[in-house]
Amino acid sequence: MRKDVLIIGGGATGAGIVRDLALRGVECALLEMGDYCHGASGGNHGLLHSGGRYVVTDPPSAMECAKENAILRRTAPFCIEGTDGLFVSLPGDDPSFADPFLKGCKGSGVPAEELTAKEALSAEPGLSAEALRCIAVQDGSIDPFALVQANVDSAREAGAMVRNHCRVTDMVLEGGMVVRVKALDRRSGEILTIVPEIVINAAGAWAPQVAAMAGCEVAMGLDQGSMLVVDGRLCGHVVNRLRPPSDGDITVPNHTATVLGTTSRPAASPEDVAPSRNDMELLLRETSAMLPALRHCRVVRAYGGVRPLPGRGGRGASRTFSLITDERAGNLLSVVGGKLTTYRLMAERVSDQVCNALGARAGCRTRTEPLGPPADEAGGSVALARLRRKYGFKATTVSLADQRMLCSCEQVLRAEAQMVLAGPDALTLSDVMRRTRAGMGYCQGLDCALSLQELMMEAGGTEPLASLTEFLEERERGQALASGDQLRQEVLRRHVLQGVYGLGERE
Amino acid sequence: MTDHGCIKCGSCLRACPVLSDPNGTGFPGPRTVGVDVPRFPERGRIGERALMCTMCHACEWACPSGLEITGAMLQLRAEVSPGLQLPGHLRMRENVRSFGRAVRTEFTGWREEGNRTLYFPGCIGLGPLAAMTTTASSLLTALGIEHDISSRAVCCGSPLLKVGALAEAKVLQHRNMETLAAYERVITSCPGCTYQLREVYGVRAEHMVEVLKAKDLRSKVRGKWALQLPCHLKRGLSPWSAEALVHVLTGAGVDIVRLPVEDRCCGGGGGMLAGFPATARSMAHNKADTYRAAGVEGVITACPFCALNLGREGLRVLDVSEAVHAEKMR
Repeated sequence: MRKDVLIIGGGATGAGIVRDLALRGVECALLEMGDYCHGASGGNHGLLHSGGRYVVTDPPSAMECAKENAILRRTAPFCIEGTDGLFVSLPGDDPSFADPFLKGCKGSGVPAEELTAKEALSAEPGLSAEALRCIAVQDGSIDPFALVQANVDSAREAGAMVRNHCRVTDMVLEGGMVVRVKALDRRSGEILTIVPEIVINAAGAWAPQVAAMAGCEVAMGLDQGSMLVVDGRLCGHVVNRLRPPSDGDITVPNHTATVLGTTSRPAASPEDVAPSRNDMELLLRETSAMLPALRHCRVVRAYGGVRPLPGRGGRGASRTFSLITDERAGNLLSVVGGKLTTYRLMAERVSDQVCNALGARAGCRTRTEPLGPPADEAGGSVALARLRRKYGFKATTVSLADQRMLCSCEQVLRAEAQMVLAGPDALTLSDVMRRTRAGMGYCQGLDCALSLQELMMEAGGTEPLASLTEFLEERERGQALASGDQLRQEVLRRHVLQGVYGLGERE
Repeated sequence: MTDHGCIKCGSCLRACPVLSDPNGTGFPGPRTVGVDVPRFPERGRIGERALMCTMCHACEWACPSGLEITGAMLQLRAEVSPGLQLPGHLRMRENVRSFGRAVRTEFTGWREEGNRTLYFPGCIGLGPLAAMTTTASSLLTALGIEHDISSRAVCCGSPLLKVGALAEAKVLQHRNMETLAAYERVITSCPGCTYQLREVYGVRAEHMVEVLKAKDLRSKVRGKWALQLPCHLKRGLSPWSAEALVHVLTGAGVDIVRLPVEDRCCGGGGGMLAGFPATARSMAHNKADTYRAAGVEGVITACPFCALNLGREGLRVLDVSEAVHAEKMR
């Protein structure tokens, strides 16, 4: 199969690039080894940066964030909650940080406004009464799965070939160029061969491995970060600590949960994501200093991600991205670094460069072309009210004839899973979960796993039992640190699924 | 809502009398309304079927995590009701606005004699069940409890809280408190009023069964009778109040048949009668069938809403005050 451009990696970066190129009329394909977002694009706290976090340490990143934040709110309103954000300092924090912060916001074009203590408490009633200074910014929360899926859908509509569960296994080089790329499609077990003009390596933490197939090297620092999902929305805003970037300095309300983040340690591999008990204690301690209600919250699960950072990584590494070329494979471009909020800008710059090389002259359209509609006012049930928020333009394809519930925690209709299963991307139960949110709630699949399995079999999905086991094991991994009510939940979940149904039973 | 201990065991769903009624399956259920939906920013768009709950507290009693599900559902109602326009609820609010009570007043035997005790029959007792109020008043007199029945007493506000009309309920409370200030003792017949007066007003109201339990009484009825233990008596006030009803009747010599369904909701509470009459009717109908099958003369209860809702099904339903005499009367 001949393609102008082959993109390897279906995170936000890859999906952004394939859409950008497809909208410019470039014939392109994207291959993703797992599901979209299975790396850092999914393993993050779902923050739409205002730029505030970087105004002091990394002003170019702050500037990019501020601009992209405004663009995404316009083009992808369905998957964004405009919660706004607060930066809060507490006793013991360096009091001299707030002034450079405000100055940095001004310099980087990040809209910011200092609130009085009274204003801060009235805006965010759960805020610690000890808060000293509070600066309001335009942070928001974003659903990365919905965002990336919308990019994939838009790229397909514009003619691109996009496939998940398709792992690149081999690259053939001739005369310093990649001439053939082979990939294994997990759906059919077939080997796919693509003959590309240009290959873009957007494999995130796996980029060095992909580059190595072409005999190239990509220097990258891998940095693990842990997060906690807490049930319920314990704050209305994104609440950040007003101090230099450090562990446990952010809480993000999103959907039915609040995500507490993050930590930082070197990661041994892209798969080295597991959070530790220390991480969990640290996150709870630090974030509850800002929001005291977090001392009594229900931690639904702990998860981690690996940040692929340029150079050696670490807290100090710049969050801007770089494009790496190597003469050993002249048509391979590796994209390194960057972050979710600026994915579109990265995609635009990479696409500009690619079009330049291809001699294509079409301009970028993603700055204005919508990815989805604004959330609507549908009512009658919470499930209906959320369809647009989850599926954007595709919300209308959910059949409303059967409004039975599949997942009660997240109020997901069976018809939503059916819509997803009828599409080209859902191969596993986890794929359905990432798109519908079924199984993401506090019962972690107890209520919906078997119904989901049933729907999957009805839809003729492949390997349903293996997929169920994989799904349950993945959910279980997030429960390794469960305590309190969540531990009671987990005991019941295992009793029912393992004890009664004998699923995923182990020695 | 945060820090809830729900483990998705489903006990509340199995206990819910609305969900198990063929006419109640449109109800999203206590777990969705009381536990899951309050976590969503879109909770305000849950829709009117969230109000299909009789506030019977059965879910709460069944919950192994001790969640206050009914309270959470009530809180959500306060948030969503202003946007909902159920005709029955609007009519009820209009009634309260125009004459102070939830239903039309039919009672005429007002007693405003400056007694120290006030008998507070509630809207149903002053409306469709005015005859019950007359009997209850005679019983109190026969027991030596001289009392007033004040025409100035208005709705306690409990039905308004069930439809989220918090401000209107507050106005009624102020009006009632002015009336109540003249009395030392308040006796009620409706467990809903009792709860409202006690827990919201902070007035030590006594329900009729609590007054009768220490008295010498004699049965006024023949044959076997079953019980309808009102939800708001047993699970709203306390299980001891429900036991008091049993003791009053057995002590008076009424032949009581105990049935497992006796404490299951009749469908008459929580705004269901006004908001979803078909469901209220269906629940009462199915319950009446069970009573008939047990071969009893009828049912004795201690709640005007139960009496009204079950009574429409052609079943003989008596209030406790209609089932007993004062010992000294003969």
